[in-house]
Amino acid sequence: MSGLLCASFNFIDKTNTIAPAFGFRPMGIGNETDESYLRYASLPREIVCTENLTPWKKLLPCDSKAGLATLLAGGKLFNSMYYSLGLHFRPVPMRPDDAGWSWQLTQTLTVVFDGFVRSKLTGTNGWTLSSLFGRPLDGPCPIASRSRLYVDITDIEQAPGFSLNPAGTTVTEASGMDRKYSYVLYNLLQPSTFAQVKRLNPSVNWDADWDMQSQRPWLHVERFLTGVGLHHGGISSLLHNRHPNRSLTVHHQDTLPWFLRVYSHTLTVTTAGKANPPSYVGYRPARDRERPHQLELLLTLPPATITRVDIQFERALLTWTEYPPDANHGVHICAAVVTAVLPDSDPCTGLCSENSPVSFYRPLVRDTGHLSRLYTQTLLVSLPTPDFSMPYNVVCLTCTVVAIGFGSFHNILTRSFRTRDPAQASGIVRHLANLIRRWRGVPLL
Amino acid sequence: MCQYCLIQVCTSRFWFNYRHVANVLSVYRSVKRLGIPDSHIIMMLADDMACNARNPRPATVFNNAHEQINVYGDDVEVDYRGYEVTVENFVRLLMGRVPPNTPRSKRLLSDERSNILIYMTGHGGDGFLKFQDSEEITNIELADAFEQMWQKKRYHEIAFIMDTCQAVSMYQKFYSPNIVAIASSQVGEDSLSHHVDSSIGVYVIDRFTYYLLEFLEKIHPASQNTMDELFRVCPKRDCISTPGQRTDLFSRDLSTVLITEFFGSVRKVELVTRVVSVPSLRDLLTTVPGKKDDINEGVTLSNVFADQLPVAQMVQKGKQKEWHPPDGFILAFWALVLLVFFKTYAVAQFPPVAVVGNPGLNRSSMEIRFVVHIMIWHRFLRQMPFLVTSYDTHGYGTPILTRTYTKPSTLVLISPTSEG
Repeated sequence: MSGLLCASFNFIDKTNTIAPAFGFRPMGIGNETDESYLRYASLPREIVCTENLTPWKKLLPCDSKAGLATLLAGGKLFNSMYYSLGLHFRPVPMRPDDAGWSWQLTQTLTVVFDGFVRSKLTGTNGWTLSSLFGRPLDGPCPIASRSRLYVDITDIEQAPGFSLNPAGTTVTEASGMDRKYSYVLYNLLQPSTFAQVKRLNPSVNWDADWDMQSQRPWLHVERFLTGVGLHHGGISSLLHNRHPNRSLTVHHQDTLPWFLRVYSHTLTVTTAGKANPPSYVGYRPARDRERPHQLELLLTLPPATITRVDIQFERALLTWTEYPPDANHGVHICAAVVTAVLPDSDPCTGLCSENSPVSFYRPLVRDTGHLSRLYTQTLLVSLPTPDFSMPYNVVCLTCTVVAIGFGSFHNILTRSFRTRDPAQASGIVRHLANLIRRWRGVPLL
Repeated sequence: MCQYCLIQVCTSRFWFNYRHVANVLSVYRSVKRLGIPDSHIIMMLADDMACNARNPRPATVFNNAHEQINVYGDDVEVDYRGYEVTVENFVRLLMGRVPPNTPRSKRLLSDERSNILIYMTGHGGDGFLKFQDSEEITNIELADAFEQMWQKKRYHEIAFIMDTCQAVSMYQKFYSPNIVAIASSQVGEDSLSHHVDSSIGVYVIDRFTYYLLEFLEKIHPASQNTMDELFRVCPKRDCISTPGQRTDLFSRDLSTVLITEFFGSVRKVELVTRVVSVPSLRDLLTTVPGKKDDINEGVTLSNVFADQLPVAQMVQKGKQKEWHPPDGFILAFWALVLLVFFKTYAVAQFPPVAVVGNPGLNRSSMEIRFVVHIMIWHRFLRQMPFLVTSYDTHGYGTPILTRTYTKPSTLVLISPTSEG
């Protein structure tokens, strides 16, 4: 996989892999999986860039030559607020009533562009496809069976001065409660889409002084480090439940590296100042250089509250060969995973309801509500680093002491000394010297 | 098997070494333009500049302040990145001794007909090249690695280009045949960078590579330029350092070797006029008898769906508490252990009690024992320690010594009463 996607998956080993008990369940058919075979690993230091997008695009049927994939240019995609590439592989039933099944590969790409900043810069409210991706659509991928573009206009339909060109088919769907989604669909495989315009470039505009009020999602998580210094520290997670009258049951999973010595007795879960003991705590302590800490909690979040999960740790010293080349940068802690089954009224973007037209990549579930898996921020922990120049200094000093101190002493003890005749001077010099010596009366050379 | 392979190594980490990554990517771009595909190129970048948080234009790397060409491009594949760029991985790659699960894109698949171009850049010194600020590769190691490659027939010819300070020292120790080496500066000289891009804030290209690229931009797949023109690509007035080269190990005359023999992948194409019929894929598939490509044959999955968040299961598991013994139990247990230990150990520390029964007297041992027992119980109740050592005849006439350790001891003497 690491060669296929140009990512360093070879760094996944037993020191950053855990076997989660409850957080992850199969998303395809077949419930009889042995959980002891399940592994979860995360590489927080890895960077996602064009070199990962290139092989991802090559897995698509039309590569990036035709269809929607022509929009995926690295320069625009990675200059955004958030981007994410995914590959999901699972067994699915071939037909709803059939016993046969086959494998399904789903490739997902999520990008968040900042429309607010863009609108303040340009002075207008709105966007076009080419302003986001750098180019419009020329046509579908001919070998695709489905090629569609959806524009979610649920929040901006009511805006004054709203306009959407060119016109597409409007699809409305209701989902549970009182939430209604409406989309505009452009079916690229239909010839009528490209009949009027040679290149499809949907543009959305609304009045400049109307700010879109989108509802915030019901569940929101953030995580940060606490404490000062290089010895002790703590990690806190804040889980926000913004639903006014419904409590949420969430599963919080944490993986901490072995060199953070976690004090499990300091785990506290508080809601609005009062203790909120979790219904399930699954803690597997680390073993040095063998496995990381694994902490799973099942929390009940009361409505309209913020729950805080705290844990304290102490940093351990590594051997000097175990530090990465840029040791002073620190180490990254992987994101915590928060899993919840949210009610259908959750105002999430991206076609979340069960009846949505793009539901084929979601887990096959029968429950109401949709599965939401949130990943918190990764954390950066500074480790106390040794002075890496010390081995060199010690070698230099020791060798100097040995060479000068012991070496000369050894020479004096073990060398045999012989007298040496002084070199014979040349004839003329000797003759002159003898003249002087005769005059002085000392023996001649 | 790559007939024309390229290995590129950028050994520097940190944002201020942007120019080394730009060097490598520029050569990569030129070589790809001349025809070598990604599968024959191994690129090692020690740090990520394109999507670095400090890059004002993400996913771009420029080698010129005019920022005309994004050398990172849209079609780049980096094989070794970040912490994987180490001396060990580089030498293993050259020699082919990679771990068994290394993917193909990370292996050097060359044989005895391959022309390999190796381009290395970074910070170097007299006889070494620094890898990622933490280790070095010496010229002797590099020479030995090439010799191993030669003995294992892993190359036909190697062109070795080095753009670091004191680069000439790195090729001075080569001793394998068919190697031509070009270096950007002599021993004692530094290779300098070309210019700074003030909008990015760092130097974006090195001098030697800048003029090398200027030269390569004029090369196209059908060029007839020869390798000895590379030696004159950067004169001292442009480079400030003096480039050096080593040609004594190369068997052919370099004025006859084309640049595209190393930098490009120019194949000799022979046109034929006869027609070859290729069977269609469908025919090929159906003519293979009895082969099923359904590897999951026989495996049936029931049409049930997993509960994504099994709350009930978790709550139930949470309620199961592990059994612990009652609270004071462990304390009492350990106290008992300590008590037994200390009492047993301390028995030997106290002076012994000798309880002497006079043999020969007409006193039955039973009476003596009775008295002794009374004494023992008396001591026991008073919590005083004692050791009973009785010399008794047991009716045999000779005193038999029996020792009974009942408690730690003091001296108790009993003299039997006389007759009574």
